Amino acid sequence: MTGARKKRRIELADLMRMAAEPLVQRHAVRGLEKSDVPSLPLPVPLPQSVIDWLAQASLLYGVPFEYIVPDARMLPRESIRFFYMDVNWLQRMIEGAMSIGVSSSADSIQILTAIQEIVDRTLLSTPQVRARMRGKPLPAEAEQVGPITGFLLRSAAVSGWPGMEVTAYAGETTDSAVLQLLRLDRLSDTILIALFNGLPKRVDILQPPESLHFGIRPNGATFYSFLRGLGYGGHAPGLQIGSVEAPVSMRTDARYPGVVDITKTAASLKNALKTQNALDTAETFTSAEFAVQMVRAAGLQSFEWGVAPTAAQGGKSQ
Amino acid sequence: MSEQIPLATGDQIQPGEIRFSEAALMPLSAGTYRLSARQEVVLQQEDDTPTYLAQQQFVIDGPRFSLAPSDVQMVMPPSAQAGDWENWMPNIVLRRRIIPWVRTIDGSSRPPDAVSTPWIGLLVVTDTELGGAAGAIQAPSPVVTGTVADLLQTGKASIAGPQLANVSADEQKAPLLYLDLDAALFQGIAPTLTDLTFLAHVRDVNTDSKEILGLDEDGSFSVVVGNRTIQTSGREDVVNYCFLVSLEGHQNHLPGNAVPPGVKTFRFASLAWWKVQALPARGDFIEIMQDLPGLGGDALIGMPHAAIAGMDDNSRTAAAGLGMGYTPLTYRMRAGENVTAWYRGPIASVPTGNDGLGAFPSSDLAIRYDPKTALFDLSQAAAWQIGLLLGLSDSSFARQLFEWRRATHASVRNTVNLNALVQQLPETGVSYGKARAVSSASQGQRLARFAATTALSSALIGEGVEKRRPTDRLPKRVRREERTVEGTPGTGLAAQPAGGAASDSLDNLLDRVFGPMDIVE
Repeated sequence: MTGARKKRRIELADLMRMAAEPLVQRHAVRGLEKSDVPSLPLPVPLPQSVIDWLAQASLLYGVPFEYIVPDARMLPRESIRFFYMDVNWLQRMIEGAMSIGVSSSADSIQILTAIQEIVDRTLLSTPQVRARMRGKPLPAEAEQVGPITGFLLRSAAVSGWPGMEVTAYAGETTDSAVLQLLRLDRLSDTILIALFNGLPKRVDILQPPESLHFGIRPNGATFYSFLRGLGYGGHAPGLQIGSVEAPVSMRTDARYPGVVDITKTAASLKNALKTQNALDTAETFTSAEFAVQMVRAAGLQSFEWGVAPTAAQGGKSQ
Repeated sequence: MSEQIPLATGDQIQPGEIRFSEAALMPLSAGTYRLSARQEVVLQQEDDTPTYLAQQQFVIDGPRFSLAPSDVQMVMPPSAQAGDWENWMPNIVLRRRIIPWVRTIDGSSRPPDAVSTPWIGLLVVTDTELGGAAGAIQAPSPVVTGTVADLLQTGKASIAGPQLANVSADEQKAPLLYLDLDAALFQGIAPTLTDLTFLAHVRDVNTDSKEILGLDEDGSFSVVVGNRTIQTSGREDVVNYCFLVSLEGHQNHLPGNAVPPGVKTFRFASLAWWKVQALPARGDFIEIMQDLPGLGGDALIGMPHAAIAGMDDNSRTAAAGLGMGYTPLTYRMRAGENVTAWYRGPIASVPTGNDGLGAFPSSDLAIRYDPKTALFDLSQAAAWQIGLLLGLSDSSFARQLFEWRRATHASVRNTVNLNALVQQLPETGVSYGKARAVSSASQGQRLARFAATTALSSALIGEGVEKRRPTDRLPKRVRREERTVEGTPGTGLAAQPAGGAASDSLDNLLDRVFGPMDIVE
């Protein structure tokens, strides 16, 4: 082909590209709102099942793990990594999926004109994917799908406690709005992926709850117990008091390990509670108060943005 | 941190609340009592006042050497189950809440309203410590059937039973289960006298037919807690036995007192026992999670790298790329070279905005190249490609997409009209630069342009614009060498005069639409 014809063909392709409406710039942090989607109907509306399939793909279902994490050093053992979803990567993936069976430029033009609406509708349908997969009733159509964020957790905790529950909050306390969980899956025995609708300020990971039982918590070779309020001194009854840990004494006979020195432990718990002003005026500490402290409930670990780690707090993330 | 437990605060326990109390005391403790009554009768006519005496003996009895199986509500960890019980302290829940305070441990009478030391204790023993054939979960029972007489008079000097005073002959014939434990073992694991006061309490639960914390019982129960954690080992299952034994009469054998000379074994009345299988420890949830920042770290996703200190261009490029979550990988080009290229998956360490590039018709077009650094960026090309592969792998998605595409083409083809096309297409003769400016048209024009360009594409592939089924008239296939310049059949275009070199019909059409092109060689 002569250079002239080649140039003309290239220009024609560009012109075909320009035939599509230019895209409105969207601010990343604001996310996508339903009002942003243009209301011009396509000649034939895209079937909802196609949108559902694309929404599932945009939550990375079916994407090989090497595409998500190309190098194993990015997710070492016993680590957690938080991320934003790259909207352009998702858009390219949707374009690729829509491009199957393209046989002529007519098909390419059709994709060009319809692609932005398809991508917008797909993103707005992502909150319904999880409910549909679990057979639960679908939530109402979202008005806004914020920036999709999430984390990858690679840890022995994932294999040990497969029923972990994850909650993301928009603020720093548990009173703030809960962000919707778009996806929570184990990619392998030890890797967990979670995706949220919005930018969280606090993420709580909760051990699956078990029946009421008593126990102590290990810290290396020593043991400790958290303190629980009894309803005095401003501490809510049954609620853990901050992250105060009271040491638990064990008997030192090496032949019979694991025997708790109950009298000493009770004394140390009583002192710790007295320091926190959590006992009543008569400073009663009987088997009932002892039982309340020794109840071992499900463990909870929080991750907060921009908070420097304290002694026993959750971790910090940039 | 751990979850909150719903403790009751007021006098009444609301549904879904739980209350722990120190003890539930009976008005009278177990024992034999004599009730006597004296009555004086005053007679009107006589001087002496006869008195009448009546006496009644009665016995208050409570469980002493055995416990009915119906008295046990629940055990924790569950009996004969394998699980991860590391650092659990076992407990047994009894249906009657007075049982741990029904009698005193040393047989003395209890002052009213004082809480006596509980007379029962929960011992945890592993199978190896128990010795013998106790190693498997199916092992025969370690407790022996006998009578109370066997418990009190063991017949051997080296086995010491409880020192009890007031056991009647009838009582001595009652059957029970007893347990022999090595004296050193008992002194090593048993609770002391002061420990025992903390190890029994009363639990009131109002579940309102819902489960709270895994409890679905309602009412008042007494709970006895063990003082030793379930033993686990790193590698294999460990069978743990839990025995609820009567410590009445054994107050001098508890840890803190010396073992009587010549005694090697203690004998206890076993009230209840169960065994659990502890699987190799998988660690503590909180401990594992709290160790995360120290081990792998908690951070935004990205390739770990040494600090980049240089300020030259290369360092700055590397720092920018790595900081945004890109990873440098080897790109094996089709031409055979190996170069370095950036790649970033769908997860990034920075928020992203829509880049406004529109749909790419192929993945190669999405490869980006920065001439300043001579590095490619393959992220979006890889995304396009994996999207294509995912779509291909699902045949129902492919079919629906194809149906939609076909329906759209059909609907467009049926509604477009060649005369109307002329108004919609860009003006003929306009140069390329001007054509670029028509991009911000209204949405209606956008659709019309879509229709027009689709029709144009149809025209390019030789289909007529009139409503015609594709198989109506196949264009005659003419070999390229024999093609005349009359134009291909079916387009209805007049033949163009030959302009020197052989020009094909595509060029002719383009000339018509866009005006004669400046030839640039």
